[in-house]
Amino acid sequence: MQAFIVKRLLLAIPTLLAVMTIVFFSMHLAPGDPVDQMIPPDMEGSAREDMVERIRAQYGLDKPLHLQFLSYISRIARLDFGNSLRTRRAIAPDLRRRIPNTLQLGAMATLIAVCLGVTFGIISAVRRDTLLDNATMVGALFGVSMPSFFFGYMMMLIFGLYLRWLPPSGFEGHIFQWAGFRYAIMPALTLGTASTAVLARFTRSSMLDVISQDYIRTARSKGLGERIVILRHALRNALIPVITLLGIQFGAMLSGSVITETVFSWPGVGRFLIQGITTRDFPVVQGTTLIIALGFVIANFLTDLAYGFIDPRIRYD
Amino acid sequence: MTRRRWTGIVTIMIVALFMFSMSACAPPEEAEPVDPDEVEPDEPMEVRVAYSADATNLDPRLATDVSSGLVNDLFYDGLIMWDAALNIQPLVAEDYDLTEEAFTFYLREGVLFHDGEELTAEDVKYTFDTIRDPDFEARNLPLYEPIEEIEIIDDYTVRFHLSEPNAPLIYYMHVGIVPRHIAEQEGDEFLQTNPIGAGPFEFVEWSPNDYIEMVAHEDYWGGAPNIDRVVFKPIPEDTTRRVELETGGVHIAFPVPPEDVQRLKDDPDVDLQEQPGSGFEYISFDHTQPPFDDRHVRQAIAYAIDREEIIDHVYWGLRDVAYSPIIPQSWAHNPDVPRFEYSPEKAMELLAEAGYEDGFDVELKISESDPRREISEILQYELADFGIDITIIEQEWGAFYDDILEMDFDMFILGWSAQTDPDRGVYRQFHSDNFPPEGANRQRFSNDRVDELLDLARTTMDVDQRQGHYYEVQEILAEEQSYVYLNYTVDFCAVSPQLQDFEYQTYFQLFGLKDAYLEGE
Repeated sequence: MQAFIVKRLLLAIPTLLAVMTIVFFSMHLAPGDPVDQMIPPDMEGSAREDMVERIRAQYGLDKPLHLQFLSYISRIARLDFGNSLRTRRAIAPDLRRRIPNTLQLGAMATLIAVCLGVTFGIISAVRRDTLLDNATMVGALFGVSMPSFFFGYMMMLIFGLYLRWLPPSGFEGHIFQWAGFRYAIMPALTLGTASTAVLARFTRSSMLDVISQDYIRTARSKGLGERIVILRHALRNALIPVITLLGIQFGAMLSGSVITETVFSWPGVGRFLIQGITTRDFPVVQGTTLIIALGFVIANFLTDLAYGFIDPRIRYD
Repeated sequence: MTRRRWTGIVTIMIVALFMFSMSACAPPEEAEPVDPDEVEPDEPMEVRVAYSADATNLDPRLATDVSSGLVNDLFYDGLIMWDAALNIQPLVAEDYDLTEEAFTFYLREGVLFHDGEELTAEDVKYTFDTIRDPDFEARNLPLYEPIEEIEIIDDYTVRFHLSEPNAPLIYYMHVGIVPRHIAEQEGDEFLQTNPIGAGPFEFVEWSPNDYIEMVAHEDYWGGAPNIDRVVFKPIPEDTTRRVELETGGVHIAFPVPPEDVQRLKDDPDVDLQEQPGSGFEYISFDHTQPPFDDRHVRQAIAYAIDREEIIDHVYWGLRDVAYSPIIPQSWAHNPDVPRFEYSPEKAMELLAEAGYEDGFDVELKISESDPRREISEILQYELADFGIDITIIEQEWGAFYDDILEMDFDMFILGWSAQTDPDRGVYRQFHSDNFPPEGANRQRFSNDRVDELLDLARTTMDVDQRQGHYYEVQEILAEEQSYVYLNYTVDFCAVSPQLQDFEYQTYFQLFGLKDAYLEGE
């Protein structure tokens, strides 16, 4: 077990390195000089040139790209995310403040996706080819296809503007209190919709597979009640592939948070990333993508661990 | 490995994840005991403002972006400010004396910083000396190069000696004055996140990208504001800002996109305020290559484009057609220059005269933006009638800007904003000393008379004479059609009717909050 955990953690390093490399080079090789954008365009004369050189030296942008990359990697190894080009402040405190907000939103969206998605999936499978099944699957198709910003705005207009039930944007406190929770309802639903739909469809097909197995027939023929057959015998086995998907979906939610957080002004990592991209703020983009990638890796790691818990046949020795 | 141990490990990891997410999010307001005096008997008057991007720096010497500027206007008072027509108004300086050799400012007595210390000539000198120090890395430094030395005459008089006459410099004297004693005690970085000025509002807290909170400065020299507290919330999405205003979440929301203007005008619960903007939008050309090296071709383009139609289609009819690089509200704006109003016949004649009766093929570069794309498509459609075949190249901003600086374009569309003294816009865009990368004369326009007039207008202190020079410059530029001007910008700000006596301004946008109050709270 320990060996497995250590191995998985070590495997995360090349993954993160690859992400860092791709992001670093795609940001630096893209056309456009960030320094030009840091100086107001109406500044003229030789002082401007001095300033350009000074900024390049200060941020190490005057060095060859491979040296910049090495120094970036070594700083990240020391958990130094650098300073924002735009605000000149260190990025780490901003990230520290934002990561919990994104995690809370992701956790709530995942919870919604699991509760609704799995429930709808089971109902659909059990009531296969009925009106209910068809309606659920059409609903799921909508959920997958609908752009999240559209769904978000629709909710904001209905529940925020017309009905005035929920605050339209922002976030205060944390989601474990009503004051903060009400801010999270619409963003979490927006973020969780696509995953709910995917999980519902996946749970349904997985359940249908399991229900047709011999051991389910055996369970039924033993005279067990339908509820026990479905929940204890079928669902348990049907959930194994669903768990795999859940890990991937959590990662997808981290990247999906980019849109949701922008729509709802949620003070999270996703919005920070968008800001960094629009202002060509290299360190911010590098820092936030690294955090999102790390979230992905951790989610997958937890998924792997969860297999062992759910499926006793799996051994990691 | 037993099942139980598995359960334990997974549970611990999930709990740890939650604990981590909780650890940094304990709300600060929980810890603060509510002061009963603040709630009873009078509810504090709190105004909430939604703006599009968070401030980047709360030190007025370093901040160059609009968001930081409008927040800093409330924290710090500068020596002077200007009104909507760009006339200089005194602020901390109650009077001033401008000559070709020196600018002298006479400060008000009894102007207090938020910490209770008095603002004196020492603070003024310190503020501008630091900006002029290259090690301080103020991005606006080039503006202050004409200052040779700053002399303190007495506690309330400060003189800026100039190395050469420079009239526009007075417009750069609006920078908020910082307290020297704080900057020296706490280090210069302190003010970037802990602003202390002599402005109408005092800093309370900044949670980056979340909110900036400030309270009334009770000892403000101009009288304490009526509003007790102002909270700025950066909300990047237009729709979200609008919904926040309509639900009472904020009292002020701006900028307002043109598509929302009519709806908000019709809404009795919104007071939509309109101000002329500080900029204009234009088409620029490569003056060094055919076909645009010939001014007849540029004039023909101006005649061939129906600018009213562009404004109607792209800006919902909300802007005015532009014909000069100096904004209409400025004292230097010449309203009588040739306007090249839409006339396909004249366009055809001019093209024939230039030898392009069959048209030509060109590339039009734009940065990613919906309005610019729509404008380009209209241009492409309209100019096709003259055989001018436009290929639209839409680029990400960085790539676009690189191409513009490297002169890799035939035509491009861009805007110019934040014009104050005409020198700041016009000198940089049309003087032949200002070719990129140092300057903003990206079209490489070169005209000796324009250069001469711009130099004169820069070094003449007399406003009437300067106006004369700029009038002539505008005439030449119109005749040359160095740019084809499209439209002047306009600013909209949506305000809750609860907020009384507040007027949004083109410059110093929210400074009016010092005189405003909330009704019914």
